[in-house]
Amino acid sequence: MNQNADFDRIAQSWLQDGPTELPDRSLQAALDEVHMTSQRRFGAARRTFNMNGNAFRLAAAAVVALSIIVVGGIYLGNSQSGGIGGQPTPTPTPIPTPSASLAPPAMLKDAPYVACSPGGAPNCLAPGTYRLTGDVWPGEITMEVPAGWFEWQPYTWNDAFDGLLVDAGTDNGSGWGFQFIGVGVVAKDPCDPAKGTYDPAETRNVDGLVAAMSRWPGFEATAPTPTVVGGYSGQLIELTSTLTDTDCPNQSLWTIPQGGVVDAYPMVGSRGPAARPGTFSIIEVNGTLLVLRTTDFPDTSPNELANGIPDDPTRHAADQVAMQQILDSIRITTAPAQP
Amino acid sequence: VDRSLVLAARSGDEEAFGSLARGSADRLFAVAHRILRDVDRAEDAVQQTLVTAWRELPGLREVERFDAWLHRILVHACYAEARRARNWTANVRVLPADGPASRDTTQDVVDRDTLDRGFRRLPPEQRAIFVFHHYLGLTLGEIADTLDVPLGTVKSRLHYATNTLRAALEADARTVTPSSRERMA
Repeated sequence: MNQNADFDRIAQSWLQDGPTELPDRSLQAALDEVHMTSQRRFGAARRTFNMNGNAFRLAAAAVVALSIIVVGGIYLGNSQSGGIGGQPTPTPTPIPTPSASLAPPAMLKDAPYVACSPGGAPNCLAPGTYRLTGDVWPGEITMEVPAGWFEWQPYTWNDAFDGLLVDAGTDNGSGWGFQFIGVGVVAKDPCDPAKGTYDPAETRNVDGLVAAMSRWPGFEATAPTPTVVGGYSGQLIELTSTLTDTDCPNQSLWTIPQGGVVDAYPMVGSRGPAARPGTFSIIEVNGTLLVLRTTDFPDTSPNELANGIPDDPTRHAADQVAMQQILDSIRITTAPAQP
Repeated sequence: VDRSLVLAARSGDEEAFGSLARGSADRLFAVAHRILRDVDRAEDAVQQTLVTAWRELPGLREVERFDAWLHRILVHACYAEARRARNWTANVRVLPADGPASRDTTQDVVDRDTLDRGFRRLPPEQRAIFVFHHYLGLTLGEIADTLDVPLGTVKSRLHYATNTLRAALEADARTVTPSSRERMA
């Protein structure tokens, strides 16, 4: 079962198996309920369901662009070097809270989409300043996004596992970019769930998580080095592995707080031995861990290789520059302390 | 879809809506069952979908997109059903002896059972994308348009669902002993 076609055949065959007719009693119950339900009437200014999401996004882009012109200057004015590999700063730099009269940058999940290339489908984020926030983030993350990137959001809980990938023109994503990831329970062995997980007390700070990651069997970790993300100091480690997904089928580095699994990409390559280093910047914001995972290599990604894109040692060289600019633009702000 | 029926139903014609419902119910149920893997919940999701569709129909501007609109309501009904349940059912599905697959070998039966178990572990958002792509045959762009989510989100959810299920199949294949593999060949 190593071919895409085999998997598709098996999956489609499996999905064909199952009931396909709604029982009459069930349909009648629904129609009885309909009979007792009034339609929502909207009058002259009625709400409409606009099914053309892309048109909506394009229209929204104009509104957001105006906001960006106004607000972006404030954030750009506060830019400072501080991405991966940058010099650590001794203390977080507080970011001024925008005036209540100015609209904040759009949420990433609400961002407008535009064509990745002229005449293409609207598959890329409109360049601009966006933010991530939510219940589990230790603050609000703001970043400046250039052209050619799109949101990679594996779970609907977009506030605990969210990032950007560069567009590769493929249907299955490029597998090249970065993600912010919350930390729940950390595996003792990412490839063997039977070995259990660490006591959360051991991995709830930067040093504890770095130590746990450095002990993962089958992975080689560099010595941690200081780094800064969004004004917060932490540690950076790079992990490599010679394992393949055949050796490590149930990849789980850790779970995010809501329960989703963080896989071992790109160290354990997607279907084959084409693994690449994974770079992890681990910071602590207001007592909560935040991990930034990046694919900081110029080569064709394992995901692209698995999708038939030829290996090219410089395919993402320019993307590395763009990603560093995004990372340098990241700002993390926290809610003011309660009185 | 019959545009005149949608227009009539949108104007409050219950009989026209009944015709639309009867024409869509089986397809909605089939999709809901494949997402939820449970007959009762799938029935509930379809009923909720039809009632919601009737209530909100006056707000549908593009009547020719009625089917896509209905699918979007169905998916959200499935999400609600999934979250309403405390746990996904863990009962083992009884496989039909004469399934529709033409190549219904023992290995296929094992694969389907593995897929079923793996699929139940996926979040409903990934399930929906997987079903829309592999069961309804929609392209990723069509799914993004139907569900009104960014294409990147569709890609990522399909990617994670596919990787999870593929890994489950491959792990299952490795647990089969050489002798049993030979028997299955």
